[in-house]
Amino acid sequence: MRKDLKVPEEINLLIAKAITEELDVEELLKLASWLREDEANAAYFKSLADSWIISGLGKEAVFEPVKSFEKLENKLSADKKQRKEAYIIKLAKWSAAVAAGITLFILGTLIPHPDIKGGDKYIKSLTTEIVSPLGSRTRIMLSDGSEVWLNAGSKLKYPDCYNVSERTVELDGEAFFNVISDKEKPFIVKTFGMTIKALGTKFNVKSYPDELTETAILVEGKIEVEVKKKGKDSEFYTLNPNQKLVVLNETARIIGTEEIPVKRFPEKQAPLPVKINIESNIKTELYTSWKEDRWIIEREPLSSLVTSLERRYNIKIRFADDELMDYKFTGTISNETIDQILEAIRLTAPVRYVITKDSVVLYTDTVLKNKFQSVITKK
Amino acid sequence: MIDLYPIWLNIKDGDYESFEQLFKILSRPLFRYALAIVKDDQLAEEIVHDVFINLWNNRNKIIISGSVRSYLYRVVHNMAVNHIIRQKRKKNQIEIKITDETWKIIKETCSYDSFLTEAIEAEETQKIISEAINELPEQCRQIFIMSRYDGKQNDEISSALDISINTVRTQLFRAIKKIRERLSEKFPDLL
Repeated sequence: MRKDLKVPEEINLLIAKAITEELDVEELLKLASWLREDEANAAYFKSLADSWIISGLGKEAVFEPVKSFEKLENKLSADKKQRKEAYIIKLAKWSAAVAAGITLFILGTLIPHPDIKGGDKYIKSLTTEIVSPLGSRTRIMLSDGSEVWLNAGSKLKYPDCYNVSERTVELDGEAFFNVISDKEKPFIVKTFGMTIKALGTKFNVKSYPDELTETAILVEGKIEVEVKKKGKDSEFYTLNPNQKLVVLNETARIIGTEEIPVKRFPEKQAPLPVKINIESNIKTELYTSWKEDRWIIEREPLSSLVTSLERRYNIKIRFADDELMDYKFTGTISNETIDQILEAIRLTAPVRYVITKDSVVLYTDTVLKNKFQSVITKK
Repeated sequence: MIDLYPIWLNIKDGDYESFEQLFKILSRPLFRYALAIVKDDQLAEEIVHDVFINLWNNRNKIIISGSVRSYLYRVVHNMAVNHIIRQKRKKNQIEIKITDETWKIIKETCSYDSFLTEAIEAEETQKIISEAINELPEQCRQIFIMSRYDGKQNDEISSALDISINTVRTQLFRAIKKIRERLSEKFPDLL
């Protein structure tokens, strides 16, 4: 505090008048020109005016936020439409939460089967659908002894007649297959855009409807991948161990989040594959470790890491700053809780996070980022 | 203090519940702040309502860079000060052109400062103020309370206590200086 500031008594009086709001025009002009004279004058005036404001807090006053909010709502009644919108979103969130709360459900669906050889009765074929909800992974043993690990947010469908004359399963999402060899009956995985034929092999297939790419990774043995192409003949690729096949579609099959009802593309507008790519000598464990408790990531961009975390832990993660999406992370995640993982992210990158009631929000730690930047520019 | 930014993001997404949550967190301190400036309970509440209605209706357009808390305090501050200026103008029918310019200087000088938030939301503030008031000489204390808390004009105080209006002003000035001294011990940013 500048105690040595010499303030004429006249000015002090003007200040007293200013804060009790009784300045006339002439006095106002006089005070204003004194304030302009020196920054110290302005600071002196401000500290007194601020003190006056703060001293007003000494007044007893009743204010009840809950009641006051009711009054506010009346004033907002013109906005009822918007409020309805908000409630619909709330409802959608709620139903998503209920769906996710069920750990595993097996649906037996009755599907009418085409007539067999002139018979006039339907032979009903039972399909089993196994859903691995968000936040959980499921291991399935099929009747032939083949094993399937189903990642969070994925669905596996197979007919009751599986292993009778053929072995065909349908996959939506991600799964790792360890197939028992049977030369008579090849094992077939159908996804949206691929049909994968295998004998005795270990491979990973990823085909989430909300992602642009579909991936097949071979660990052991051999697989044949048929990529469907709209209006053209399918293309066939044979994969050797440690190879990865990626089909890039022009759009994702499903647009939307949990909050908005999911919309599937009508058949006509189904996304077309725009690029098919095969990569060799990949570290397959990076792609298959999700099924273990030890989950390995290497130079994984935060954007895709977040997608995996969302599925694995059944949470919603949002970015407040898009620039964060490009940060890359390497490491092994064992049995860590989501809090521990978020904390690890925070400690290794200029990222901060906040847990709200329905999601985690990631945002830039500006202070840390600036520090990083100065290191980068210094080289 | 709770980080309000995620709540604000939800509000931007149209989440009415988050809007309610933000109101319940901040409306009381904002009300007290507005009240300290306008000295009228009803008016202070109206200002807070206006700020929140504007926030909800324009959630898509409003860009808050930095602290959500500071943003709302700043808006409340400006609305409250503008209200007083409008009131004065009406009452004294002062020539608008000159006063606008002049008020601008005074407003800029007394603009919102983040330490105010700190002072308003700190638990000990009230204690510091009441201690400072109790330390004032009796007449000084009486004048301060009449002016600050009973909403009396300086001329009303002067006739009620049968003292000159300039005595009222000097006593008030003395009270503020004393309170400032006490506050700056706790909040060095005050000056």
